[in-house]
Amino acid sequence: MSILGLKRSRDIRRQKWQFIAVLVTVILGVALFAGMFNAYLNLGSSLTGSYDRLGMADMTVTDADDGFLDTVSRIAGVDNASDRQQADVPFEIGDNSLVGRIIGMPGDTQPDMNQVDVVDGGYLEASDNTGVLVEEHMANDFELEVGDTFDIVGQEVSVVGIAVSPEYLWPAKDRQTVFTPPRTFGVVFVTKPWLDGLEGPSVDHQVLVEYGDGVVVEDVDASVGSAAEAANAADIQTLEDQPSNATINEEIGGLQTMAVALPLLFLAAAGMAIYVVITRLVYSQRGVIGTFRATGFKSKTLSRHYRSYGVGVGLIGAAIGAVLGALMGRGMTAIYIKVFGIPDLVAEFHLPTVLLALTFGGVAGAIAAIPPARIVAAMAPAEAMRGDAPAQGGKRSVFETLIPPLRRAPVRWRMTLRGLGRNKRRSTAMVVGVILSAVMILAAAGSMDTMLAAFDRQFNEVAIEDAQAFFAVPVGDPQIEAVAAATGVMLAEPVVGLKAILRNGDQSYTTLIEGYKSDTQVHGFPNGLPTSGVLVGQAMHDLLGVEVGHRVTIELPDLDVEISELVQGFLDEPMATLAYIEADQLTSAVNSADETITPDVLALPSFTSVKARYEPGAAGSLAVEQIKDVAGVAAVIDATELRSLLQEFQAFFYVFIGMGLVFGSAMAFALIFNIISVNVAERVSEFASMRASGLTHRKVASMITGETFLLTAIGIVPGLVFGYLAAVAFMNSFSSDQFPIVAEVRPWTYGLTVVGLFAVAGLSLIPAIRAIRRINIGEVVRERAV
Amino acid sequence: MTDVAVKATNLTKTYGEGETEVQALRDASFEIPRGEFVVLQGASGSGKTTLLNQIGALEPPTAGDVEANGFKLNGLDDDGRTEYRLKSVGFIFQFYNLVPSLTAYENVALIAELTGDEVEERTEQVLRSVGLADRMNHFPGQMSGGEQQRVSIARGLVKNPPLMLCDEPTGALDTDTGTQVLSLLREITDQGDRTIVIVTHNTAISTIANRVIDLKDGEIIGTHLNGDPRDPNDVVW
Repeated sequence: MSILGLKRSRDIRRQKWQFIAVLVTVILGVALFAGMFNAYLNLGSSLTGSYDRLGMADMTVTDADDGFLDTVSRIAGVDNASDRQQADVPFEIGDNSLVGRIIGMPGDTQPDMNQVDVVDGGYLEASDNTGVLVEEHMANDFELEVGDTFDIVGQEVSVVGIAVSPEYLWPAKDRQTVFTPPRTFGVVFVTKPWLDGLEGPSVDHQVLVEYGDGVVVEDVDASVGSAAEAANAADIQTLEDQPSNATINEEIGGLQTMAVALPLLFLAAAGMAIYVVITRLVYSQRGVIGTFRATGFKSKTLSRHYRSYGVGVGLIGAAIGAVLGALMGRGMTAIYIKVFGIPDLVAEFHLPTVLLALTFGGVAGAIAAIPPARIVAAMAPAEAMRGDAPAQGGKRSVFETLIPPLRRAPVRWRMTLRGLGRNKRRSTAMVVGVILSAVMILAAAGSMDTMLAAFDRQFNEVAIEDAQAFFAVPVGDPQIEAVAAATGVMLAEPVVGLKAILRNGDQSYTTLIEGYKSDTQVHGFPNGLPTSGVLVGQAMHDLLGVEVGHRVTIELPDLDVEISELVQGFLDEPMATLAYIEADQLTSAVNSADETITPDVLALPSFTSVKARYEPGAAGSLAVEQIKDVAGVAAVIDATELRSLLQEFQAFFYVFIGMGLVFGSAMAFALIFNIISVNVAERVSEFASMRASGLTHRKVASMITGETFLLTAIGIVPGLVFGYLAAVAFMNSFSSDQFPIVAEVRPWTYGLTVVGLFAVAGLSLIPAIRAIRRINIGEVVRERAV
Repeated sequence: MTDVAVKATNLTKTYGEGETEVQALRDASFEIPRGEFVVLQGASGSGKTTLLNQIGALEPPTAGDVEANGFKLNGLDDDGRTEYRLKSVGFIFQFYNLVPSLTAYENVALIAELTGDEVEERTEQVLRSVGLADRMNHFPGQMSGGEQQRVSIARGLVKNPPLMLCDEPTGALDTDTGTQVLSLLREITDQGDRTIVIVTHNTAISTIANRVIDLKDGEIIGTHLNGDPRDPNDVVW
C-alpha cells in the first residue's frame, strides 16, 4: 500500500464513526436498490415463467358468436385458440354456502391453455365425472383434502386433487371484486362433460387465445378485440386486465417505483454525508496538505487522494450493499411468491443490477468528494501550512435582520442563530437531509394513512352494510323480508347487481352496475342516489373520457340488453370502480329497452342480493347464520370478514412501510450525526475556551442542540411539503381502477413526523453532546500552545 | 481573604501510562501573592502550560493540590471547577479563541451574561478600557491580531476575576502589538490587586514581572523576584 493509501486507511480509522455512518447509508441505499430491483425482476420472471409453463391465455373472450373460434385462429399473431365453459353456481360445503366458479377442463389431459399445477392428489379423469380439482385458495379456506366431498348445484362431487391455477394466483372473482373474503368464493375445475350436463346455471362460453412468440401484444390485442366485438362478445379480457394478473402487476409496478425512488433518497443522503465528512477532513488537514504540496506533491495527486475517500467508501458500501441486496432480493422474491402463490420461483443473479448498484455507490461517493477535492487543488501551500483557516468575517443572522428584537436577545441565543450560517454548505446539507428523511418517512407513513383512510371510507362511508347475502337466482320481496327478520338485523334492503359494459364512443369499461333504493341506508352516496341517470366511479372519468351530463351506453350482457343513461356524478370509492343507479329506474330502463325481458329476471320485485345492517350491539355471527338459512341465499359476506381480509393483505404492505420508516430514521440519524460531529470537531477550541471561561458543558451543549433543532425545523417545513408530494406519487403508483386510492395524509402524521425527526435529531445529538462533555480543555489549550 | 492568590502543594501531573507515560509536572510547590504579575518561564515541554492549566482548573492534577481564591481545586468536580473558573479566573489564550460569529461586544457579553446584571454597561466599559471603544461591533475576522487579543483580555476581565491566566498571550503577535498587550496586562495589575500569571518561553517578557517561576522538565527549578520590573515599552525581543 502506498503511503497515501496508508494515510487514507488511518484517517478513516480515526474518524471511524463518521465513515461508518456514511457507509451504512450507502449500504442501505444500494441494498434497497439491489434487493428491490432484483425482487422486481425475479417476481416478473417468476410470473412469466409460470404463465409460460401453464400456458396462460393472452386473451379471454366470453360469449362471442358461433364461429369466433375459427375467426380468431386465423388472426395474425395468434398461435392457438380453444374454447371452454365456466359458470358461477351455488356450492354447499358442510354448513357453508357460497357462489363458486366451476371451470370445464378436458378429462385425463390438461387443456392447451390455462393449465393447472396439481399440488395434491391427481388430475381429472374422464371416467370420473364427479371428481373435481379444487383451487388451492379454496381448499385452504375450507380445509378440503383429496377424498372430501361437497355439493355443487345440489350434486355431490369428490375432490380428486388440489390445484394451482395461473388465473387465480390472486383469487379475484372479477376486476371489481379483487378482495373476496375467505369462504365466500372459490374455484373448482370439473370435467367438461359434467359441466355440459349441468342444468340450470347460466354458463359462460369462453374462447382462450394464445399469441405467438415475438408478436407485438398490443397489436394482436387490438385485432382480437375488434374481432370479438364484431362477434358480439359479452366480455373481452386481455392478460393485462385479467383480475389476478392485474392485481399482482399493480404490486410489481409499485415495487419497481420504490426500487428506484427509495435508493435515490439514500444515495443523495449518503452523498451529502460523504461531502460533509471529507470537507471536514480537508480543513483539519490543511497543514498536512500544505506540507505535501511544499514537498513536491502535485495538486492533482492530492486532489485524487481526497476524492478516493468518497469513491472508496461509496464502492465498499456498494459492494456490501449489493451482496445484502442480492440476499434481500431473494428473500423478498420468496415472500412475494408465497403471498401471491406463484408456483415457479425464479431467483436469478442479475449481474447488471449488481453492476448498476456498484456504479451508483461509486458515483455517489465520487460526486460528493468533488467539492472538497477542488478545495485541495486550490489550496496555496504557504497559507495551508499555517494550519487553521483564516477567520472569516462573521455577520448577523437572517433571523436578526428579519426580527430586530432578536438583536437584543441573550448572546447565547444569537450565537445559536448565527451558527446556522457559519458553514452554509453544511447547514444546507443538513436541511436537505432532513427534507429527504421527511420525504421518506411521510411517503411511508402517508401510504399507511392512505390505506387506513381508504378502509375507513370504504367501510364507514361507502359500504355501510354489515352483511350482504347473494342469491343463487334473482328473488323477490319474501326473501328480503326473511333476511330483515333475522335476529339482530335492523334493516335489509334489496340490491340489483349486474355485470355491465359502459361505453362512450370507442372507450369501454367492464364493471358492475348496482341498483339501490333512492333513499338507501346500506350504501353511502355523498349527495344521495339520483332518481335518474347513473353515478360512476371516478376512474371512469379518464377511462371513458366522460364528464357529468354526458350520456353513456350500458350493455348488460346477462340480460342481453343495452340502455343509455346520463352521468350524474362521479364517486370517490376506494375499493372498486362501479356504476350505481336507482333500482326502479334500472328496471324501467331495461324493460323499455327490451320488452321481452321477463319479470322473473329483472322486474321488481326481483333482486340479486340483499344488504343488511345490524342493530347496535347485535351478534353478527348469529345474524349471518340465520341469513344463510333464508331460502335462495347462496352466500353471505360478513363485512367484518372482508375488513380482516383487507387488513391481512395490507399487513404485507405495512412491512415495507415499516421498513421505510426505519430506514428513513436511520438515514436521518446517519446524516445529522455526521454533520453535528463535524460541527463539534471543528469548534473544539471555541468550546474549550468557552468552558475555560466558565460556561458549563450544558450551556455549550444547548447551543449545539439549538442549532441542530433550528436546522431540523427549517428542513421540516419543505420536508412536509415534499413528503406529501412523494406520498401522492407513491400511492398513485399503486392506484388503479381496481383500487382507486387517493393519497391522504392525516394531520397527526405530520405531527408525528415532526416529533420523529426532532427525536432522531435529538438522538443524533447524544454522541456530540458526550463529545462536548469529554472535551479536555487543558489538552486543547496545551496542544494549541506554541 | 488571605494575601496569597495561589498556593500549590506537591503538584504532579502525569499523562499517559506505561511506556508512553510523561510526567509533565513533578512535585511543584509555590505561592503567588495577591496582586502580583507572575511569569511562568521555561523551554518548550518544561510544563509551564500544564502548570497554568492546573491553576485554572482546566484539568485535575495526578497528585497534590492547588488552592486559589478560597477554592481547594483538588476536591472539585466538573461543576465545581466550572464555577471556580467562572468566578475566579479570566483566561487569555495565544490564539484568542474568539467565537467568529460574534462581534467583539458579543464575545465579551457572552461571558458578562453569566456573571451578573448590567451586561451592557460592564461589557462596554471593559471594551473601552482595552481601547476598543470604536471596534465593538466588529467581528473577529474584521480585526487585527492585537485587537482580537484585546477582545480576549476584555472577555477575561468582564467578570472581574481576581486571577488572570495568560498562555503565551503575545505568541501570535508582532513585537509592537505584543508590547501593547503586555502594557495593558501590566496596567490591569497595577490598577488593583488582581493577580496575573503569564506563561511564556520569551525570557524578555520576564523582566516586566514581579515574580518569575522557572520550570524545566516539569520541575520548578527556581523562583526569583524583580524588585524593579521594567516597563513593557522598554522591553525588546
